[in-house]
Amino acid sequence: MTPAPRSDSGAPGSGAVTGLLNRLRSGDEDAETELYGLVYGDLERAASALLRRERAAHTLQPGDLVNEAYLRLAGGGVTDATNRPHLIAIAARAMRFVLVDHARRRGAVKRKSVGAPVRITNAEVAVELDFVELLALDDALERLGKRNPRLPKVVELRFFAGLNEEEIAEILGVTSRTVQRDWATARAWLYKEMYP
Amino acid sequence: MAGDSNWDEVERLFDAALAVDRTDRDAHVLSRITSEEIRSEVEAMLAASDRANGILDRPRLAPPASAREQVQRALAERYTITEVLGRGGSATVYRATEHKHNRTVVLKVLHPEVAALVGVQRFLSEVRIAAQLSHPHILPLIDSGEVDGLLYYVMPHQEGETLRARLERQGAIPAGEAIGLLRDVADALGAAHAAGIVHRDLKPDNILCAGDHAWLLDFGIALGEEGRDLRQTGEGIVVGTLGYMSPEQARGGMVGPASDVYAWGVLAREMLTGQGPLETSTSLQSRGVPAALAALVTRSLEKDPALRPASGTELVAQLGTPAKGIPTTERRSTPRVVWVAAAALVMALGVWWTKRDAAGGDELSMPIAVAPLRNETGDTTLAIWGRMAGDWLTQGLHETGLVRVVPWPSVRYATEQLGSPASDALAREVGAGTLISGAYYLTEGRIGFRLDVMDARKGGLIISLPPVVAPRESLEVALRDVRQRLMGWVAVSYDERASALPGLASHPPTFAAYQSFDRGLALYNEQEYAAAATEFRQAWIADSSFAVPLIYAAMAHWNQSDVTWVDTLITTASRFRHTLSEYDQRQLDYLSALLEGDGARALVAGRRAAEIAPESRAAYHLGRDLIAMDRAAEGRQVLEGINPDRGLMKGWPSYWTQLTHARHLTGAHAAERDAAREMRKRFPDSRVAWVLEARASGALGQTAALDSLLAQTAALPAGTYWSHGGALVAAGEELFVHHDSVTGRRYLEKAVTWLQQALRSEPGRRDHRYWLGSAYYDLARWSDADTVFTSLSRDLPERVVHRGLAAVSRARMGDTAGAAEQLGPAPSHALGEYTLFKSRLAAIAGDTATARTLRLQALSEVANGWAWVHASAFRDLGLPAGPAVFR
Repeated sequence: MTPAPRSDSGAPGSGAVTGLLNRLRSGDEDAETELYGLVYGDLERAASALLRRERAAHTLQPGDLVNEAYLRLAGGGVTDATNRPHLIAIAARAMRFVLVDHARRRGAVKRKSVGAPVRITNAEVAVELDFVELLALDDALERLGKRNPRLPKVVELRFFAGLNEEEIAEILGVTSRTVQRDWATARAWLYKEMYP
Repeated sequence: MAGDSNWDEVERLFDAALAVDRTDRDAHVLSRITSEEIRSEVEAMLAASDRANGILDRPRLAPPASAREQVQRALAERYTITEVLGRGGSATVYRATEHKHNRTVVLKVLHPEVAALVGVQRFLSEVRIAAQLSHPHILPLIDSGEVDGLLYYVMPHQEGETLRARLERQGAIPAGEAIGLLRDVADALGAAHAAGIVHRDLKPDNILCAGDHAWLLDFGIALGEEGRDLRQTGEGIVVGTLGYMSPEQARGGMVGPASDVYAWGVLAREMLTGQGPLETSTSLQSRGVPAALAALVTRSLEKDPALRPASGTELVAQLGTPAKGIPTTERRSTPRVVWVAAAALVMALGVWWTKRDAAGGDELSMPIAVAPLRNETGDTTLAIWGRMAGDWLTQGLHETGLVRVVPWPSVRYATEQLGSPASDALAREVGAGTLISGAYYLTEGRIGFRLDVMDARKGGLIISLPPVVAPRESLEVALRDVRQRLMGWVAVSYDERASALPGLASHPPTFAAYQSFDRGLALYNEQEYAAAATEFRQAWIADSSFAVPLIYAAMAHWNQSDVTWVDTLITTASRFRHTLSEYDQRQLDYLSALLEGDGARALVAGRRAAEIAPESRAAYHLGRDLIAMDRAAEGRQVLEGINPDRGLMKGWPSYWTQLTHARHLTGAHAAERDAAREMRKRFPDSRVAWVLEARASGALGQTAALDSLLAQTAALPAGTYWSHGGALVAAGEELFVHHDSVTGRRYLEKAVTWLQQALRSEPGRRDHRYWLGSAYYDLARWSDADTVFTSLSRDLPERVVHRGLAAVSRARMGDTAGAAEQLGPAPSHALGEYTLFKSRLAAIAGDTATARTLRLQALSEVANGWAWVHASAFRDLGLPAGPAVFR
C-alpha cells in the first residue's frame, strides 16, 4: 500500500483518544460516538483511496482497514488491556459503515443496473458482495439491535472485523459458547429477514 | 412477527431447537410453544438457518485473528510454524520450517503495537540495512517482510541457549570463558558499527551461546546511525532495555556506537559477577577478574560516551587475541568445532565477507574483474554470448560474498569506451587487481569456453582453467559449467567455501532476456532512459528469474522522474532480493529510500554501493543526492573525489553538471566556471554546459565574459531546452542576487524579449515557456508568471515544478487559497520537491516558522531539481544569497 498522505490525514491525536477512552470508561456514551467518528474518518479515507485506484477495480480489504484503524488508535501508545476491546469493537462498527456507505453511494448511481457488485477480497479469496445485499444486511442489523444489542456486535466483529469466537468473547466479556449461540441466532434471524 | 417483548423467548427456544436433532425438533420444542407468533418466528429462523450461501457465509472478510493462525496463514507459502518459542516485549518468536530448503528457522513477528510504532516502510528499510550485516558472530537475517499487516523477519535456527538462560543456569561465568564470548559480541558489534549500524538493544536475551562462542541476534529493529531514532516517539517511548541502556539512550539523546559499548560493559559486568545490571555490589576485582579486563569494563561504563571505547572494533583491539590479549587464568578451549558450525551457518547464506586465511593458496588482488569473453567462433550472431558470460561470471563471484568484484556495467562500459581493449588496459581502466578473461570457439560443431585468470597488478597469468565444451544448442548449460569451474577454482585457491555456495541464481538468464538487458545497458549509457527502461522491463518479462534488469529499469525511470514505475519495479525486484549481488541490493535500497523521501537512508545505501564499487555510478548518485539535500559541501567532496576519466564516469556529461552545481552552491564560483568550461570542452554538443557557464559568470559578476559567452549562445540553434534564453535567465538570476538588481534585471528583460520572440516562431514550446515564466517570476511579474506556469501545469500535470511555480506566483499575487489549490495534493513519492514549494508558500504568506520546518523537511526528503530552482527559492524564503545559508 502506498504511504498515506502526510500531515493532514494523520492519526487522530492520541491525546484526544485517551480522553475519549477515559470518558467512555466512566460511562459517557457520547464518547463512543466521537471515537467512532475518529475511526470512521480514517477508515473512510483509506477505503476511498483503495476504491479510487483503478487497478484495484473496486477491491476492498476490510481486514486490513480495520486493522489499520485499530493500529492507528493503538499506535499512539494509549491502549492498554481495558481499551483494546472498545477500540476493536469501534473499528469493526466503523468498517461496517464504511462498506455500507460505499454500497449506498454506488447504489444511488447504479440502483437498477445489473452486475455492480462491491468486490471484497482478502489474501485468499475474492468475494463479491452485492451492494443491495449489503444494504439489506445493514438494515436488518439495525432492527436486530433493537431486540438484543449484543447480536449485531457479534456480527460486526466476526463478519466485518474477521475476529474469531474466542476473541469476540474476550471483547464482549462473555463466553465463547455465548458467542456461538449469538452468531447462530443472529444469522438465522438476519437471513429470515433478508432472504424471505 | 414476534415483537421485541417476546425476543428473549424466541432466542431461548431457537437455541433449544438447534440443540436437539432435527427430527426431534417438533416433538421436543416447537409443539410445546403456546404462542403462535413465537412459534412461527422460531420456525422461520430455523428454516433460514439452513440457508448455506447467505452473505454471512461467504468467506470472512478478514483472516481470523488468532495470532498464530494469522501468522501461519500469512506465511503459509513459505513456512510452517511448528512451535511458539516465546513472547517478548516487542515480538512473538516461532520455530518454523522453511519449505524451500526444508530447514528449521526462527521467525519473529512484531506485536501490532510495535509494528504500528515502527511503521511498515521503516521496518522494511531497517531490516534492509540490517541484512547488510554478515559476520560470523551475527545471526543473519534470511528473510523479512510484511504480509497482511504483519511485520516479520526470519533467522536461521541455531542450537544453543540465550546468554540470559546461561546466566540463570550458571550464574557468573569464569573470566576465561567470558572473554571469548565478550570478544565475539564486540567483534559482531564492530562489524555493525563499521557498517553504520547501532544495535541499541544489546542484552543477554539477544545473545545466543553455543559452546564458547556467541552470536548476536536481533538487528531487526536496530537503526542505521544516520537514521532517525525510531524507538523514540513523540510520546517519549524509549524502546531498549532498562539497565542496559546507556545514559544518553535512556534520556532519548543521540545514540551511537558508544551506546552499544556501554551495553557491552553492562553485559560484561553481569557475566563476570553474575549480578543483574542494576545491582553493582560485587566489584569485578573481588571476583578475580584480570585488572586489564576490569579496567576495560569500567571504561565502557563511563557516563560520557566520549570517554568510552569508541566502537566494537576498539573493544576487540583492547581485548586482544586470545594468546596476546588480556591474560586469563584459564586456557580458552579450541574453537575449531564451533567455528565450523558457524561457518556452515553463514555459508548457507553466502554473505560472509570475512575472508578466512587462505589455506596455502594464492592471494588474489582485489577487486576481480571479468572481461567479456572473446568471440572466436567466427559467427557474429554469437557475439552477445561473450558479454553474457562476462556478466554471468561476475554475478557468480558477487554471490559468493568472498571476493570483491568490479560490477559488470563498469566493465562493459570500459570495454566499449576503449574499443575491445587488451586485458591489461581493461584491468587498469576498471582498477582491477585480478582479471578473468577468456574466449569461446567452435570445435567439431560444439562450442568451447576457456578462461584465464591474470594478475593485473604484477602481470602474468595465474592459471588457465580447463575448457568446457558443450553442444552448440545448449549454451546455457555450457555457461553454467564455466561458472562452476571458475567457482571451483576460486574455492581451491582462495576460499574453500566458494564451491559449496549454492548458486543463488542457479541458471543463467535466457538468451532473449539477456539480449534485451544488453541493449538496455547500451541505451542507458547513452542516457536514452525511456528506451533503456523498455528494454530492461522486456528483459525481465522474458525471464522473470532475472531480476537485475528491474533495478536498472527503476533507475532509468527515476532519471525521468517517473516514480510510479520506480515503485512498481523496486517492489518487484525486492522479491528477488536474495538473488542479487550486494551491489545491486544496495542500489535497490537506495532507490527505495529515495522513493520514500528518506534522504538519510538513501545516503547510507548510496555510500555502501559507492564503497563496493568505487568506479560505478554509485558515487556520482551520492554526490547528486547530497546536492539535492542541500549538503553541497559534502556533495562536492564526493564528486571531486571521483575520477572522471575512469570507469562509468568517463563520457558521462552529467557528472560535470553536478560538479558545477556543487561548486555553485558552495560559493566557489571560479571553480564552478572552470567545471562548466571543462564540460563544454569535453562535450561540445552538450548545451547545458553553456547555461552552466553563463550562470557561473553571472555569479562572478563578470559581465564582459558573460556577454561574449552569450554572443555565442545566441548564435546556436534555438530548438533546445538549454537555449540562449535559458542562459540569459540563469545569468540574470545570479547577477540579480549576487550583484546589482539593475544589471540582473537587464539580462532578465533580454531573456523575456528573446523567449517571446522564440515562442512567436515556435508557439507552445514548453522549454521556452518554462524559462519565460522563470524570467517573469524573477522580474516580479507575478501575474504573467502565473499564466505561463498554469498553462504548463495543464500540459504536464504530473510535474511538480510547474504546479509549484504557478502556486508561488499566485501566492505572490496575494491569492493564498488559489496558490494552495494550484499546488495540489502531495505526490505519493519523491516528496522533497513538493515540500519545498509548500515551504516557499508558507514563507510568502509570512509564516516563517512553518516555512523553516518545511524547508528542513524538504531537504531531508531530497528535493530534486534543487540546484536549478535555488535562486528563486532563496528569494521566496527571504534568505540572502551565498553559500550554505539554506541550512
